[in-house]
Amino acid sequence: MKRPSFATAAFRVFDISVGQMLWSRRTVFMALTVGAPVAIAIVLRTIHEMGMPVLRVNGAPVSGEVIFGGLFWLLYLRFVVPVLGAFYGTSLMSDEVEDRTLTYLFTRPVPRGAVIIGKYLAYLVCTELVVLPSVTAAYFLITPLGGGSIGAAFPVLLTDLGILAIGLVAYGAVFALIGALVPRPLVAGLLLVFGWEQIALLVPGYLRRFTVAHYLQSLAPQAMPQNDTMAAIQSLFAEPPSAASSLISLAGITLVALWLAARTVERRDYVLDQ
Amino acid sequence: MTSKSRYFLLTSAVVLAVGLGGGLMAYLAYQRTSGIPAGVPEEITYVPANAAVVVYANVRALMSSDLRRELMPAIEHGSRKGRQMMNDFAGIDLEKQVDHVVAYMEPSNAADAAADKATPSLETLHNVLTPQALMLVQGTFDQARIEQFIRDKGGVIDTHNGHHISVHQDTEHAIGFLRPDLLVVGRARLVRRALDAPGQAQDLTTNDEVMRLVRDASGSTVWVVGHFDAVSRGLKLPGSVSGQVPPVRLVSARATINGGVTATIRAEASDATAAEQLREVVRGFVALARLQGGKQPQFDAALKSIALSGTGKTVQLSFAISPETLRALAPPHHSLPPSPPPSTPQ
Repeated sequence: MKRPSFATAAFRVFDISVGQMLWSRRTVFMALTVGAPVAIAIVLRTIHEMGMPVLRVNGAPVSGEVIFGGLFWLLYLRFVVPVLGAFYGTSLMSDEVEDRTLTYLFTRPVPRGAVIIGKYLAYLVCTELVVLPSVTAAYFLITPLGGGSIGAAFPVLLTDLGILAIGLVAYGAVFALIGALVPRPLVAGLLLVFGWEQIALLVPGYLRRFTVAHYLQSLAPQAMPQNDTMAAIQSLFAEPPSAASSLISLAGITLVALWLAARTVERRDYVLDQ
Repeated sequence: MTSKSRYFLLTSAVVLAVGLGGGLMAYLAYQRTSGIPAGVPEEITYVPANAAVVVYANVRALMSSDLRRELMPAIEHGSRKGRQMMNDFAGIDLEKQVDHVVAYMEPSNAADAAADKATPSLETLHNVLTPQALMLVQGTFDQARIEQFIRDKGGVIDTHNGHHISVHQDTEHAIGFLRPDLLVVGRARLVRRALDAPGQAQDLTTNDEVMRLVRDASGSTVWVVGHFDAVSRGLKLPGSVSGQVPPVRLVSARATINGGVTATIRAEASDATAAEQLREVVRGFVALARLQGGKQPQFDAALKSIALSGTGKTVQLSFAISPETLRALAPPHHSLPPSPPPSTPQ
């Protein structure tokens, strides 16, 4: 039998994995994660339609564009994207190991590296097609509040969608590598997101350059909401890289992480529990 | 892939495409809006396309705002002075008769060009050195009463292009009656030009760049749009400060005032790099302000509300100020000497 090419093999794995990812238990978590901002947006819009002030800062109304900017930063950029990346990215290989189904994939005449690349592509399609419509829905619900203009702020939405898409690409690749390397990848992934990245962003110096968040957050058109002293310190010490260097760095992180993940899967002997 | 998965992904893609398509249509509609957009005062057609600064104030909303009522004791002195000036000049009660005001300032070189170019006459020098500003006051006026008031003060009512005009001979300031509900007050040359006909010259609606900012600002209680050099001159920014600001071409500020103030300042830089530099400068100032302001709880909420945004060449800063913060910022209320009663027509 003719051995399929790497791309053909990756596509076949992708085709099988999309359905597995969409209808797994994680889907409930994903639905809750991306549904929460939309639910908040619906509540805010309902309050607005009832003629009540949506959000006030000590008596002064806050515009819809500012509310959407806060939602984008606090929920999507800082929480939804890294957490979905961690939950799905780390599971690409570990689920097959835990379910003892890895043998079925590895005994097929396909390159082992194509397995993780195909699964990574399935992760991208699943998450992007759930997160981005959620952001768009929240934008349409919130932006018109307080005199905001959907048309005027549309370029900001496009930038936001691009940033989230890039974030899912980069975080997914990093967590795919962690999933291929580490025995308990989800714990390691969450430690990376809520431990290492948070600390590195606060410390002055070069450490922040070893985080995805540093490059991703510098692309955001809205300013980071600074509702505590830690955020103010982070902003004070921040030396945001240019958009071009951030994009190059994120592309570099993604490619290196994917290459290492594929190489690890090719070389590693996975021991399945009996 | 199962058909269930395929339909789910297809539905998500359609939702995203519809959202983006709708947003794109709204964006194109926003870009193509011509004439006087909704919310923009029609007096904008009396403003020339090359105006350096345009200002709008919804006086009625300001006067009836909770904020003014709360801050009345602190701002009474300055407010009374402004009202007194309008009353002395034309017998207009700013508080009761005026709905809104549109004002503009011409760039000094435009005034220069409009004057005699051959030799710098006294008039040319005067035009260059004196701010060339015009104010269009919309409200409910009793023209006969105002004209009588001017005559009582020794003024003369003339006619220009079918409209009544009174020129103060010493100051070269004038008041003209465009319509019973629309007065023009300012430099006599500009008042005459406004009375000639609206839209005779290229008006501001033909300046797409400035109109984009005006459209954004419309609906606010107060707004100002202008070229940065003119605004910085108006604010009397020291050279050391304006020299540190990356190249900015246009700037706008808008505020919605009721219980508190929600304000947005927007700057259009010369290019994306300058905009990024400006964002970094502002980001630094905001961070420093937050660290400093943390010591004063009355500024805490205002500092937390600051949001920096903008894409490409645009830099935008939004913030909200509560009545409590404004009270803290307002000058202390001193007991004032009794002011003379306002002049009334005899």
